[in-house]
Amino acid sequence: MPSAVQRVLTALLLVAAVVGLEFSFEHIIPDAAWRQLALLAMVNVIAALSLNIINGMAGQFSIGHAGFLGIGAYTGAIVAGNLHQMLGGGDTPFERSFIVMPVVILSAGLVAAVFGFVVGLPSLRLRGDYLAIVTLGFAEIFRLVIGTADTGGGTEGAINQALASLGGQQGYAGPDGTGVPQYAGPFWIFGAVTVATLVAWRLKFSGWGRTLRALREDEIASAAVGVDPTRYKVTSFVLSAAGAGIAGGLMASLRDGNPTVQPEQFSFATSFDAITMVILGGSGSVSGAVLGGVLVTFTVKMIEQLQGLDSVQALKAVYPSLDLNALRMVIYASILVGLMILRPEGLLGEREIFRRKSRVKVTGAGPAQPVPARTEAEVKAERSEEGQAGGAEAGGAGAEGAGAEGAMAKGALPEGTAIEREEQPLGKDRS
Amino acid sequence: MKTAHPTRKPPSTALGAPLLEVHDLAVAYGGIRALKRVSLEVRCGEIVAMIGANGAGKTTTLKTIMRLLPIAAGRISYDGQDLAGVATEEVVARGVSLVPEGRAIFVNLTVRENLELGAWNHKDQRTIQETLEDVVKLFPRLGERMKQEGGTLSGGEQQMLAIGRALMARPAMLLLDEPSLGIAPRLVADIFEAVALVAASGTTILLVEQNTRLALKYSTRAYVLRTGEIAMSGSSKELANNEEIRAAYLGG
Repeated sequence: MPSAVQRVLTALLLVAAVVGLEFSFEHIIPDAAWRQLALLAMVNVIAALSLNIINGMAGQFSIGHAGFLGIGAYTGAIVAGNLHQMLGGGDTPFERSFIVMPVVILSAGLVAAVFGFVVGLPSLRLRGDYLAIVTLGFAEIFRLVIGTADTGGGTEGAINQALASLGGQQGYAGPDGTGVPQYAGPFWIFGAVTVATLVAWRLKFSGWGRTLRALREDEIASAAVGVDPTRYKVTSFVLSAAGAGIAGGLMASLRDGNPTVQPEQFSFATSFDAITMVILGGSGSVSGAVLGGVLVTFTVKMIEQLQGLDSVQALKAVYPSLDLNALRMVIYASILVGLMILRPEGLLGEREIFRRKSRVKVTGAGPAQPVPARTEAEVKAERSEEGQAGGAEAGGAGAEGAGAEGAMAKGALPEGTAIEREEQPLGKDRS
Repeated sequence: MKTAHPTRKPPSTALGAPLLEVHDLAVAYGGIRALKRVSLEVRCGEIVAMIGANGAGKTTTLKTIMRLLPIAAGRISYDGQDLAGVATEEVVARGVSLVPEGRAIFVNLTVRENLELGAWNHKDQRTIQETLEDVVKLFPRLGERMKQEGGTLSGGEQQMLAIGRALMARPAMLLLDEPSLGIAPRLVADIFEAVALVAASGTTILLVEQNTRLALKYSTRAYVLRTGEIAMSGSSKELANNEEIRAAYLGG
C-alpha cells in the first residue's frame, strides 16, 4: 500500500520533472518545429483522454469533440489575452504564467463543461445514437457561428458584436490583435497531461468507472440494478467536454504554437482525429488514449516529412502530376485501415499498459468458500445473532485493515490502490 | 420469516396482504398494444407465476413494473404506493429487483463485479460483503468463479449470476423473467430449488416462465396471459389440473 510519504515523493518527483522540462526542453529538442509538435502531441493526448471518457468508457458516441476544444480555445484565448493586457503586456515570463494559466485552464474547462451539459442533457436522456448527431451538429454550429459572425449585415446587437470581435475566419489574436500570449510552456503542458492521465486512470478504476462499463454493456440491466443511466452518461459527457475545453485552452496558449485561434482549427477533421486517437489506442483504455494521441500526431508529421525525401522528390520530378498532399492522406488512411484489420479493437483494446487485466478488486475478501446451499432463512437467523458479534470481529481484524478497506472500497480509491491490490490480494475473509 | 435487513426497510405490507397490485395495465410499443388489460396481484410472501405463449406480454408486464416501459393506461402499485412516474432506480431502491430475460449479465465484468453492481443501492461495505456471502451460499458455483468474467460462465451459471445480482440489492420482491430459458435441464432444477429457498426466506416472487410444468410446480398461484390479457388465474394446483391448460401448455 503506497504510504503517504511515497505518494508525496512521487508527486514531488513529477513536479520536479515538469519543472525540469520547462527549462531544459529547448536543449532536449533544439528544433522549434519538433518542439511545437511534441507540445501539440501532449495537447492531443488530453483531447483523446477526455474523448475516451465518453466514447470509450461510457460507450456513447460523440463526434463533435472539436466543438468543445474550440470553446475551450476561444475562452482560453480571451482570458489569457485580457489577463496579459491587465498585467502590462510584453513578454510572457514563466512566473507570470502561474497567474494566467490556472485561470485559463479553469475558465476553459468550466465554459466547455456548461456547454457539455446543455448539449448532453437532452441527447443522453434517449437511448441510441442521438448524441452522435447532436454533437456533430453542435460542433459545426459553433464553428460556423464564429466563422461568419463578422460577415453579412450582422454587426447589430450586443451578442453579434461580441461574436464578431472574435475575428471571424481570420481568427482571434488577443484583444489588441497582436496574438494570444503563449504562456503554456512545457511545464503546463506536461503537467496537465500528467494530471489528466492520473485523473482518467482513477476514474476508470473507481466504482464510477465500473458502473460506466456496466452501462456500456447493457443499459437495461444496469437500470435494473438501480443505476440511473442518464445521470452517469451526462456526468461522463460533461467531464469529457471539460477535458476537451482544457485541451483547447492549452492549445490556444501553446508556446511556439499558432498565436491566433481560428474556427477552421475546429472543423470536423479535428473531431475525427480525436476519434482516431481513441479508437487506434483502444477504446476505453487510458494508456491507449495516450498512445493514440502521440501516434496520430507524429504519424501525420512523419508522412509530411516523407514528402521531403530525395527519392520522393525525384518521383515528383518524373511525374509532375503527382499530388503529394493527396498522397499523404492516402497513406494515413491506409495505415488506419491496416491497423483496423490487424487489431480491430485498437492497439491495446480495453487493456492498460501497466496491468494485465483492466479490473479492480474492490472488496478485501479472499476467494469465497463453497458452502452447501442452505435456506436464506437459516442464514438470516444466523446473521441477526451475529449482529453485534460481527462488529467486534471486524474490529479485531482491524490489523489486516479489513475495516478501512471496506470504507474506502466503494467511493474514492486512494491513488495506486488498484495496482497494489493486483500484486497483493489483501487479507482473507474476516473469519 | 421476513427480510430483516439493516439498510432497507421491509415492506410495510403484512404477510399475505397484496404487495404488488397491477390494475387494468395497458402498454404500447409505438402503435402496437402489447398489453391490453392486465390485472394481477402478488401477495407478500407468495410465488406467483405468469405463464403464456411467446408474445403474450409476460416480459412486457415485468418491464413495465420495473418502469422500463411507459404505462399507457392503468395503475401499478407496490407496497401501497403508486409506481406511476417513479424512475427505475427508485423502484429498485424501494425493494423490487428484476432478473432480466436472457440473463443480461455484464459479460466483460467479473462475477464479483457483476454481483457488486447488484448492490448498487447499498453503500455499507459490510452489508454488501454479507449479502455476497449469502449469495455464494445459495449458488456455491459462483463462489468458485468470482474472478472469472461473466461471459465465460455456462448458461446455467450465468442465470445463477443474474439471480445473484438481483438478490444483492436485498429485494423484498424479485421479478424473474424466464429463468429456465436455454439452460441445461439439470441446472434448471438447481435454479428453481434456489428460487424456492429465496422465497422461503420471505422474498416475494413474480415468476415469468414458458415452462408451464415447472412454473406451476413451484408457484402457489398463477396467471395465464394470452395476447396481452389475463385469460385465466387461480391456484397453481387447480391450473395444473385444468383441462384447457393441460391441452394448451402441458402437452396433453
